[in-house]
Amino acid sequence: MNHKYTDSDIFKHTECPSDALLLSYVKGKVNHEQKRSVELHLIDCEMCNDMVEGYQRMQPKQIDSQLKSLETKINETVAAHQSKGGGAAFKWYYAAAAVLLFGLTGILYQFYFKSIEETKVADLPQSHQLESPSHADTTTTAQTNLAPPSEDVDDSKSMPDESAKPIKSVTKTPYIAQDEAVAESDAVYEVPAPPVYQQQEKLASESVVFDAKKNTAESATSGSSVVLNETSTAQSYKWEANPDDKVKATAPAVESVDLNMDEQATFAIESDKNIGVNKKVKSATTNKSKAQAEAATPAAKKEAIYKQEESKSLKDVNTDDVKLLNEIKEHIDTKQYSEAIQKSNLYLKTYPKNCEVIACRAQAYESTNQSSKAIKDYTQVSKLNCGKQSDTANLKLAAIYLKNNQANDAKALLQKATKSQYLDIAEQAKKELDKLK
Amino acid sequence: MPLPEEKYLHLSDLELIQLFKLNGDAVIIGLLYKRHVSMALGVANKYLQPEDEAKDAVMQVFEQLLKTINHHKIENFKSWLYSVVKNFCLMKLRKEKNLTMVREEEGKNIFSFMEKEQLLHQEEEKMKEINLNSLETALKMLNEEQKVCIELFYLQQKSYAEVVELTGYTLNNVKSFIQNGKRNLKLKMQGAHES
Repeated sequence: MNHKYTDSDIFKHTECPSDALLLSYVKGKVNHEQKRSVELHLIDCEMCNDMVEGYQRMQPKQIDSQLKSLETKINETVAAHQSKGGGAAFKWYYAAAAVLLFGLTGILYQFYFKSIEETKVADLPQSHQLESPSHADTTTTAQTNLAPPSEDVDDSKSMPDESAKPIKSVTKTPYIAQDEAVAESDAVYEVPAPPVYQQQEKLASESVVFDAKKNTAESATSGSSVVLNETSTAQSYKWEANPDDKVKATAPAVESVDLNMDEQATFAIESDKNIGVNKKVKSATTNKSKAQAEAATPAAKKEAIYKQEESKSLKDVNTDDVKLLNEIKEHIDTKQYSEAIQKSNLYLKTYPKNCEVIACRAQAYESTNQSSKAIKDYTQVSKLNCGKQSDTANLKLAAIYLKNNQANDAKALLQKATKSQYLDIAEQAKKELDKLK
Repeated sequence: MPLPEEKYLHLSDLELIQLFKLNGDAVIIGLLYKRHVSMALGVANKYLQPEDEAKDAVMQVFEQLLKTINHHKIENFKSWLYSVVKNFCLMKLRKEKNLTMVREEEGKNIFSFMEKEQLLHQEEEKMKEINLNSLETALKMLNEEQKVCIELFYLQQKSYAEVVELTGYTLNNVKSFIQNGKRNLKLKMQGAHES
């Protein structure tokens, strides 16, 4: 049989030629051999064929100039993108948002303490209240709005400076007097409650249970509650959360979570007791909202914080570090553990809290029977709260403990892992626990 | 003064993507795109005319890339980019309702009978197992145009231009006959082998 077809290249697979070679082919600047290899490839490769056909629609002389102008445009787009603040450049909108936030906080702060001042004025005897211009204005407004038109009242309206004087000096009909009484009583209701009541209301509305020495006031109007302990002295109030004290907060769809308050602020208020208490309430509110925020999705929150920190540090990662990281992973994949450990050590000198690399090193230690080192690394990963990696580290640690006949330690870790937000980890931990039982 | 992209020159496509995902430096994607812009321009030119429209498409794809590359898992940037550019152009054509026209102009078979690189590689392995004696028989079963083009291109090792000159067919037709002929050959040879 004639085997003339064996050398026909019909079913020969060829790699994509370089773009430069394809362009040379289009321009007709290739030798016979190159031309043959390109044409053989074009039959099989849709991408290269499309590219060549596209260029064949252009004037060969124009190709280079078109490509050059495109490169310039790309550079311009990159520059514009960077100047807009995209990418690695400084993000101005973050700064603007921060300034705005500070401003709003300042306004709210001012508003809050102004209302306290007004509250204090409202709590004073009537004669003292009238000295306060702001309060006098309130009364005037109430009067002018509610009193029907009469000469006497018109006089008072025409003399705003005297409006602060006692209203009794004005002659009125019984109806007007009645209306005014209503107006006055309305005005009284409009005045903020005295500080203590206001504070209690605030406590109740925000569901804060405030323990001042032995006097305990409790309110439980809503689902969430914060418990604070206070130690007071005669002149200064110090609020210190004991290490044992916990803030308990519940949030929708989340079970109550204990948060240690020992790192919360310790502060002293030197002057007014009421203001001091208000400040404490405010601080408690802030702490409560912090607690609620953390309680809302504790694991997700921690992970987000970790990721934020990690991304911050990754901004400074240079290309060599990326290569090094890839090499470490490669060594782990190819079971070159000693190289992986060596390179991990190098990497961790620069980024000592990189969970991924610590976990890689732990794996390498574990695979080379250096269990104490592996335990140390896995424990670190677990403590770093870096999401799934930390939860996986718990599982790994449990496995090592089981190997070392430390069943109780393993159980504790597995129980922790069953609460993981990652279903696969939680399920695996549950399985392991069942096995132990 | 060194260009900002110079420090990235030694990195592969995938390393560049990885790094961009970490630090978001647009220079990286600029560099990556410039590596393959000739392919992108060629492909865009095939589907879009005039040339300026093709150039605009290439730039629009680049701008999209800057925004969305983080969301994609890319294993081979060049072939991924090819798909992106091609789809972008086809979408644009669809919007302009010119797709049908272009298909008619470009030749019906070019698109539909192009075969995937990977598939071809697998088939190549298969074909090695098949006795090449059946090639001659299978070749006889092809239609006249396909048979002539296959013989000229593969057996007589003529170039496209020469086949065009010898047969009088258009370049697109020649390519189409070769591609279809090759595909049919494989099918017939595999069928003969299995039977």
